[in-house]
Order: sequence, then structure tokens, then C-alpha cells
Amino acid sequence: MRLLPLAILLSVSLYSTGFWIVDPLLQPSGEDYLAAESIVRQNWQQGDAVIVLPWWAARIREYIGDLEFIQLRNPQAEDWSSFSRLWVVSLPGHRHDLFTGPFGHWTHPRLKEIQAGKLTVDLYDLPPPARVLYNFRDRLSDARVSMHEPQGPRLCSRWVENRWVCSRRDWNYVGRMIVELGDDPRKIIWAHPADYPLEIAYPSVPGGKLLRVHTGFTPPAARAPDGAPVTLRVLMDGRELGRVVQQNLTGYFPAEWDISAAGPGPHQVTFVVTSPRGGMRHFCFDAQVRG
Amino acid sequence: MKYIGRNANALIALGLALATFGVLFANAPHLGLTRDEGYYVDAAEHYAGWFRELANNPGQAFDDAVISRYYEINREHPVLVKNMMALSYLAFAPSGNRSSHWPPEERGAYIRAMRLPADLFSALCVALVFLFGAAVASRRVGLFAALAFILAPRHFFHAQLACFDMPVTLAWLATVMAYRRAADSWKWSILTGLTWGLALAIKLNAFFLPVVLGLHWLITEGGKFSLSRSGLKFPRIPLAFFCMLVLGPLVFLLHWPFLWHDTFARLGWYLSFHLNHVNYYWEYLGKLLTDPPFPWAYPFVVTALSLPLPTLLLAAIGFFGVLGRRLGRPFHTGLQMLARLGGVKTKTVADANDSTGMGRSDAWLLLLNTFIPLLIIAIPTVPIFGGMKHWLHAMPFACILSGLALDRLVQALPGERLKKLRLTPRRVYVTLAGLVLLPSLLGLIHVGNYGTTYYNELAGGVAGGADLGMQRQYWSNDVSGVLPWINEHLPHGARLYLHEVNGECFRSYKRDGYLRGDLRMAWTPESSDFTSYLYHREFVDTEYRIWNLCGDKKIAYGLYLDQVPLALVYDIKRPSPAKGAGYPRARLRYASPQGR
Repeated sequence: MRLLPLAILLSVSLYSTGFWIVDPLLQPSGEDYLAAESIVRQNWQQGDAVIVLPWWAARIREYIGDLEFIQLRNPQAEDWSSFSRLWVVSLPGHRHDLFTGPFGHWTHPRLKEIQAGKLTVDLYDLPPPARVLYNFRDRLSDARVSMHEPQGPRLCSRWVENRWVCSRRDWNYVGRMIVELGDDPRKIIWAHPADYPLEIAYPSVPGGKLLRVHTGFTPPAARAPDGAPVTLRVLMDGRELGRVVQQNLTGYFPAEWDISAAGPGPHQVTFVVTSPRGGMRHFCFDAQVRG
Repeated sequence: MKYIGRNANALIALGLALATFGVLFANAPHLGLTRDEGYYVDAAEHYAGWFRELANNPGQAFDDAVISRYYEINREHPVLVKNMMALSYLAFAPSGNRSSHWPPEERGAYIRAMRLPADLFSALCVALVFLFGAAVASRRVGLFAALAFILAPRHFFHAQLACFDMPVTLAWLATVMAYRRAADSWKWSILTGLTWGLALAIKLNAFFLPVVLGLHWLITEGGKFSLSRSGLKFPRIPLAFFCMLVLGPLVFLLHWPFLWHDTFARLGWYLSFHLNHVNYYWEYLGKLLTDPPFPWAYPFVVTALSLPLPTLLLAAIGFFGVLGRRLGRPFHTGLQMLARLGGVKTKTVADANDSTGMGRSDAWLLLLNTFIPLLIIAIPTVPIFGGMKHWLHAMPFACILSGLALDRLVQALPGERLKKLRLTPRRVYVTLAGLVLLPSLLGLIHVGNYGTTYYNELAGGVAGGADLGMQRQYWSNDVSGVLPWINEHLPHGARLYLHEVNGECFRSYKRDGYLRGDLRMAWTPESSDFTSYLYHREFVDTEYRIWNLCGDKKIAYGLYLDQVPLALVYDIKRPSPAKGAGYPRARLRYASPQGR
């Protein structure tokens, strides 16, 4: 009994020594990454996406960062309906992180499983992707953006690189951004309301089955102790489809409306963003018309 | 031989100090500059101006206007270390034009000069850990503790920096050592007051030292309090406390020229700065801690994940073992009850209370100095940023407890069996110590100069730390790992944004030849041609801005440790199909990452 602590110490020391000797030997090499790149590139198709496990393993982006690379902490819970197949590159010891949820229940069957040295490349088949008829973020340059000030609407008429600039204040624009919502980066439209309603109008949007939006606040905005909610009103041809009241939370929250009755269009779709207090309202949204 | 025998401890301490200094001094130019060092080296250069003034115009050097001109900068920290850096800078740094680039043969000399005082402080600290361990226990305990302390990768990292954490650790330890000897001695009491004054002159952690020593006095002398008809009787208050009260503030005021005028207002500003210090964000177990209340377990969890596992295990055995022996029966009864519930046969209380040979006072000194610094950070309203450096001064004591625990484990070995194996306890101790310290050394070699990324074997190493969502880096020094690539591949005159690297460090990198002279500093990714991004949970939006600019997520080059990204270089102007029009074409092609 009195030798037990010594035995534990010996075991811990040997384990720890082994850890620092063995762990470097388990790391993938540059050749492994090249092999993984080659597998992914040779079999890449339109509608594919790629993730890495664990989420922080950025090195693979030296090789395939130009492809549709999605960085997610929790891919099991993700809405993959925009993609037809998913490539998963895993570091040793992390591959099983994905084997839960739809990836574990054969809802998303595995089509390929290839070893690239110490990396593993898996390819999953996803359910048939939704038909995106109109992506409001991609078509932001077609929009007409204005601020409804008390003295009348003021047009944000200057398009700079990726945004409609509304004033000299560096946050006062409507633009294509990638920001952190929840824990993950999201491609969104930055629509920080000031003290007046912000209107983003798309003149010629095709009809479809669904109009889908995601909304959320950035983490710094959600941390603001007196952060007011933001309301996103969605109008189609002047008629309100619905509204989302985004409480002071970070995240990427979905909402959708059936627009099949509206016909094939084209329609005018308008998003109106308002908040009782505009301070620190880093509000973001994205939207799609789906067939 | 007699001389060596009589002075063995001093000679070992000297050997440890010299070896530590040699390694730190040799490595100084290879470790990237931390953000705080950027501010401190800049301040030291200013303070050097005052020393020049003092040499050239001693009559004017004491005027408020002259002092303020040089000491207004970085007034949020006392200046003892920065003054030493200033003197080292005057003595050893290249003497050329401050704003130009120094000749190749002088490169590295600047940072070596600035880090020289820290190297000395750290070397002395290791020597003192040995001497204290030898004093309270034995030579072998002291030696083990000194090595365990400096080989812990986080400690080794902080030992190299031109910052205040290792110096204040030395001053804290020196004060405790002096206090230990001060019982009836004027000499040691005065020394306690002086060393505490020096500690105050280094960093504000020292304000908490009287709390620890006061508690120690209450615990060890508390039994002498009495209330009788003749009134309340106090135990004798140590002379050292009076000396601390007088000499501590005196040394503090004398060392800082800026406090020689308008003293109270400036002192008030200093204290107010720290009492109202902003809470920098910090990643902890997958969450970004932003505002108080912070988790009370934070310092304990971080210690458990960042001290090499065998050292940690021994520290825990040592701490609870010594605590148990000090608390005696209630503690052991509780332990025995738990053990019996688990079906484990235990020793009797009398056995468990066997003495280790260490006095009661020393035992409490070790326990309190190990525990209180962590406890202070555990208070939910205390800022937690900076990680374990804020309780680094607890670690010498924790390492001595580790050495004691190892000693106890060796003593528990059956003597007869050892004799049969022709082993002596000393030989067993040395072998076990080597085995325990080997993972520290291997971990240290593995993380090299990227010390803040180190997590122990319990966490799963560097990658385990990333999996757990622990703070990976925060001081920008890891950018040094991508500077050679940047120098080799960036076109002439490229605008370069080094994320989290402040202007002072950028200037130093250029001046000292770590960065090419033609590269221009950019202040944002948007205004740069190339950006080096350092992963930091608080600033992930910086990387997302880069993706927005690039149109995709392709990395040009990266620094990884166990695949964990530390610094990523992006070519902002690289053509990409996802980009809109209006971006200029890239002007260079860099080598493919093949074969790296």
C-alpha cells in the first residue's frame, strides 16, 4: 500500500516521457497533406464542401483553402442543405468526432474512406441539396440601400468593394462580410441599424418555394449589457411576409417563409432592419430564395 | 576539498545560476518579442535618456520636468527592472542611430542587452530555489526543486522575457527566505524589508506578500494569543514586519524618480490604474471569459494543465501531505474515513503524523506561499488574463513541495530490499528525479520558444490544449516563426500587417534584422499586401476579415506546433475567383508548401 504512490509516480513519469517521444511521430507530414490535397482535388465536384477535424487544424488550408472550405466546431449540427457532398480531412485521433448525428446514422452515408499518410480523407454523400434560386448576399450589389431618417430616406449610394456605404462612420454600411456568429464564421450581410430603419430592397427576385433567412448578433454585440433587440421585417412586393425579432444573442438563427403562392416573379423583396437603440447593434443576416 | 565541502550549497547554487544564465543569454535573440516587452524596451530606452542626463547634467536631472520627460512613459509599472534594462542598453546595445538598421554583426545585441537583467534575475531565482529547498529540507530536495522549476516550459519561457514576472518571483522568494531567518535577527529583518521594497519596485504582486507572511505569523504564533484578567496578550510581532513597513515603501519611492515629485497624485494614479484594470479577454475551456465573475477554479485548472504532469503530481502529494501533517488528526481522520469507504487499508494517525524533519514554520511557509497566490487569482473579480505568469511566484514553493514528496516516497521504500539490490536512497532519489524531470525537459525541447502554447500530458500537449479550448498565445512573440519566410518571399517594399505585434516590436524586428528593412508596416489587414494572423480567440474576426478580403481561406504559409496553428500568413492581394473586381494582381509567387 505504501508503495502505491511511488508506483503511480513511476507510471505517470513513464507515460509522460512516452507522450513527448511518441506524439511527434504521429504528426502528419507535408507529403501527407499533399496526398490529401490530391485526393480531394481529383474528385472535387460542383456542390462539394470540405471540413477538417478538429476544426482548428488550419494547415490543410495551405493546400485546399481555395476550395469551398467550411470551418465549423460542430459539423453534426450544421445545415448542409446547400451542398451535395462533404469531404472530411481528419487528423489522427479526431476522425471519430464526426461519427454521431446524421453522419453516424447513415443519413449521410460515407462514399469514400482514403488514408493519406497519417491523415484520413472521407467523403460523405449528403441528401439532394436545396435549389438556391437567389442568394441575397451574392446579389447585394443589385440592392437599393437606404436609411429612413426623420427628414426622409437617405440613399446609401456608394458601392465600395463589397458594401454600400451609408456614412463616414466605419460601421455604417450594408456589406458582404464574414463574421463570427455563435462560435463559427458565417458569410452574411452586415446590416447594423442606426437610430433609423435601414432598408435593403432587391428589385428583381425570382419566385420559389421558400424564403429562408438566418439572423444573429456578433459576440461583442451580444455582450453589450443594454443591447436592444433588432427586428428584421421581410416584405415581398410591399406585403409583409414575416418578421424576426433578434434578441441580444450571438448565433446563427434560421427562419423561413413559404412564398410558393407568390408565383414565379420577378418580385421586389425588401428587408427592413430596425432597433429602438442603435448602439452596438452588429446585426447580421443572410437570405436565399429556394426552389 | 574542505572548502568545497563547507561551501557545497553555495557552489551548487552558483553552478545552477551560471548554467541558467548561459542558456537564457544564448537563447535571447531566438525568442520573439512579446507585446509587453515592446513597451518595456521602449520605456527602457527613454529611461536611458535620464541616466545620460544624470551623467551629463546631474544638477538638472532631478528637476520634475526632466524626470517627467523620460519617466512619463509606461508609468503603470515600477521601474526597477526597466532601469536595469536601460543601464544594460547603455552598456551593451549597439550604439548606432536608433531609427536605422544595425549592421549584421551587431544584430541580436539589442534584445540580448534588454533581456540581460531578466536573465540575471532568473538565474538568481533558480539558485535561490535550490538554497531555500536545501534550507527547509535537504540538498537533494533543493536541487530537484530548482530543476523542476526552470525546466517547466512555461517557467522557462517567462524566465527569458524582459518583463517582471520572473524578477518578482525572485524578489518574493528572497523576501520569504529573509523573513524565515529574521526571527530575532536585526540583519535579516532589515533584509526582509529591503527585499520586499525591491519586490514592490518590480511588480504589484508584492503588495500581497504581507498577507501571506501575516497569515503565517497568525498560524504559527496564534496559540500565543490569550485573553485573561490581565488583558489581551499578543505574541511578539516579528521585527521583520516593522522593517517591511518602513523600508518597503522607502525603497519603492526611492527607486522611482517619477515619484520624487507630486508623489501622492502619481502614486494614486499607479494604484488606481491597477485597481481599475481592464479585463482582457481570455480563452478557458472553450469559452471566452470577458467579464467577472470569473471561474474560481481557473488558476487551479490552468496549473493542472500547464505544469508537467509528474511535477504536478508530486506537488499535489507534497502539498496535501504537508498540509495533512500540519492539520493533524481531523484531516487524517477524514482521509482515513474516505479510504476505508473505498476499502483501502490505511496507516494509523500516529504513523501519519511522523515528522519529515521540516519545522512547522517552514511547512506553513511552503503551504501558504504555494496556495495564496493562486487563491488571489481565484477570487472571481480579479483579472485573470496573462495565465500562469500571475502566480509564477507560487511555483518555487510548489516545486520544493514536489521535491519533498519525492523524498518521502523514497523514504517509504523498504531499506532491506534496497540493500539487497545494492541501492542507496540517494541513488534511488537521483534516478527517480531524473525520470520525473525528463518529461519537463522533453516538453521544453518540443515547444521551444513558443512557451505559451505548452500544455502538459494530462491536457494532451499542445494539440490537447487546442482541443480543450485553452488560451494558445497572447503576446505576439510566436510571429518570430514566420519572419524568415516573410523575409524570403515578400516583394520589395511590401506592406505587412503583423497581427498583435505593436509598433515598438515591429520597429525592433526591423532594426535588429529580424525583418527586412524595406518592408513597410501596415496597421490593418485591409491596408496590407500580406498579413500574419496569430490565432487568438478574442480576435478571430481579424482572420474572418482576411477571408473576406482574400475571397477564400487559403493560407500562404503557417507556423504550426503539433498541427496547431500559431501564426498564419495570408497573401491579401492574391487573385481569387471569389474576389470581386478591383483587386490588383499579385506580384509574386512564393514557393509551394511541398515537402515542409
